[in-house]
Amino acid sequence: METGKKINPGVWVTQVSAVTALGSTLDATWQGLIKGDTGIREVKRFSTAPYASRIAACIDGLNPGKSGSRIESLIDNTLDALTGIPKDAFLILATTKGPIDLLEENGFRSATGTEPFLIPDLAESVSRKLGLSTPGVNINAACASSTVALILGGMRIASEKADAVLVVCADLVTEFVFSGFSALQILSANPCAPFDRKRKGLSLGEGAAAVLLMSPRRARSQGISPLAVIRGWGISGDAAHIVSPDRSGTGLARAVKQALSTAGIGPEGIAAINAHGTGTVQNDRMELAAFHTVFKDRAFLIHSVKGALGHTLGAAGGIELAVSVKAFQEKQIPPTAGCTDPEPLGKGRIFSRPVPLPKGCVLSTNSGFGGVNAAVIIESGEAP
Amino acid sequence: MTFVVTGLGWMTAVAWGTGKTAAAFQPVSGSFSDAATRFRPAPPYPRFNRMDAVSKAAFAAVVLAAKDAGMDLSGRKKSVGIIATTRFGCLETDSAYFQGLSSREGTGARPHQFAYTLPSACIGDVAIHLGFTGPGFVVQEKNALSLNSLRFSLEILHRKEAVSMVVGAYDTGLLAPFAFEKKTPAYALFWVIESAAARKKGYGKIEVRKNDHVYFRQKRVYDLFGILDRIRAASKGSTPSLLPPLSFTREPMK
Repeated sequence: METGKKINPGVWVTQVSAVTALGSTLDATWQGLIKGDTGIREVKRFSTAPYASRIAACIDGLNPGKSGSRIESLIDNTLDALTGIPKDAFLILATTKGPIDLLEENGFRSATGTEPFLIPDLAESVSRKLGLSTPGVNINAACASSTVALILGGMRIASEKADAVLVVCADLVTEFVFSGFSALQILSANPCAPFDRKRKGLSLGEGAAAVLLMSPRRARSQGISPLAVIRGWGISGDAAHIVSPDRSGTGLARAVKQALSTAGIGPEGIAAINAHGTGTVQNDRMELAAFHTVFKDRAFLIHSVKGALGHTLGAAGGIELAVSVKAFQEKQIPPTAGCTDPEPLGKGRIFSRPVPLPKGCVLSTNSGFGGVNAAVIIESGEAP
Repeated sequence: MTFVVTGLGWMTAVAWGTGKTAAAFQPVSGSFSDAATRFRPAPPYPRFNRMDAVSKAAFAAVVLAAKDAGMDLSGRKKSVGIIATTRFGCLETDSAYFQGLSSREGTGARPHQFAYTLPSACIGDVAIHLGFTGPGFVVQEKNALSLNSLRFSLEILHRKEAVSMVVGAYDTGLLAPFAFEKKTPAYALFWVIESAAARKKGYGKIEVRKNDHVYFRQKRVYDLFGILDRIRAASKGSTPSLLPPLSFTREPMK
């Protein structure tokens, strides 16, 4: 059933930052992406001997924070790039496993005492550091967590329940997570190759992004211009399988159609797709099927950053939105690292070199365990 | 647009029920393993016995709420979303998974158990069972009775991004070595919220007003148990009687 409502939420993206294995800033990450670099390397943090892969996109020199968890440092580093965060901003964190490294080290207890440091404590800690008026929530929608968080933030602003929303997303490479994906037999022994015909699975990565969303009214009152505008969104469930996507792509196609509907545009309005593109056989096939369902044979570009940044799980959607903001600014789409021979539905759309970004909107999609799909449509902040 | 609570389902460590038996809802500390193991979904869900106890409890409470609302339980696809709030979520499964991993130097990773180290896995299971294709995710907050999940649900309904929403909370009674607090009650509690135009009967009208305050039956509620309080009061013909159970942190009654 199609349930989209014709609205243009006009949620402004006013600040973005990202920290990834390619760089400690969004600019450094972008430069690496454009050069076709990859941050996927041999894991040194723990022994990978028992597992199906030896590689992941870890951030060099990422040390534990005060709590004892690396995620605290990762988030701090990401927030360093933001300025003037409104104290009344509603904080939405997006992480799948948060400070899970504490379980490995200290049974979830903070390094500074016996108190637990769980995901809600992490949200509260971020809020406290920023001096925000509310403690914040974490959204857990598996690998679509940050896209769902962005959508919920957009809804809060569009419904005039908030003037500013700060979405902070982050996830780590830990043995806990690495072992699980290895056991599921979806880790690639070589750096992942999203949408390539010979792809063998995903590579994990760690990273974080922070995205400040504001209502146009509030931003204008502070003399702030948008970097980009979120115009539409959609969330759907496959209701098919817990750890595998619905092969038909029906669920993702429904989320994309809903996003087009809320944006009030047709498929011709999409110039490029920043796809989930994990590099697993099933995910990439499902995504291409979904895009074909919605866009048929129209001309549009597809790219995935996961061959360069790894799959950053709950942080993926936020990092990918930040990359799309840079794509608008630089008017080009980064290469899909690792993809040299695209699947037939990707031919002429997926490139191993940077390509100019045509005029139009960018669609960003993510899907996750449990069958969740999320899609957001953004346009350039320079758009009329 | 007006929305109505049309169904209620719950499970504690020792019992389960619907709106008709809301008066019996009393969270106690401990594990879900007893009640969750005795519960049998109808129609059957093949994966149910492979789920962890807290996921079974959340699953059961959603199914009971859907049944109480008179929803189609066949698994036919329908535009229904689920949002659950939790504080501790899958903590015990995280621990069990990691113990298996560390006891066998990395070779003890169990793929099936790994799936339940996501607190949203139970949402996916019940969506598969009941055919729910709307938004589904978990909100993790220190105050697990917070109304944020309800606010998100009502926004989704107002935007017609789902026809109905199931919203609620679940948490596990923490056992050693994670007994961070003296007594943590185990409970799963979910409501079905639908458009008043779609349903004639229900437990009462629910709304978020402009100041973001939540009202149920025209009275302000301060946490998720506040809704249950009013349902119980109506069924017993008395004033709200559900006291803050055990160590729950409730929003101040301003």
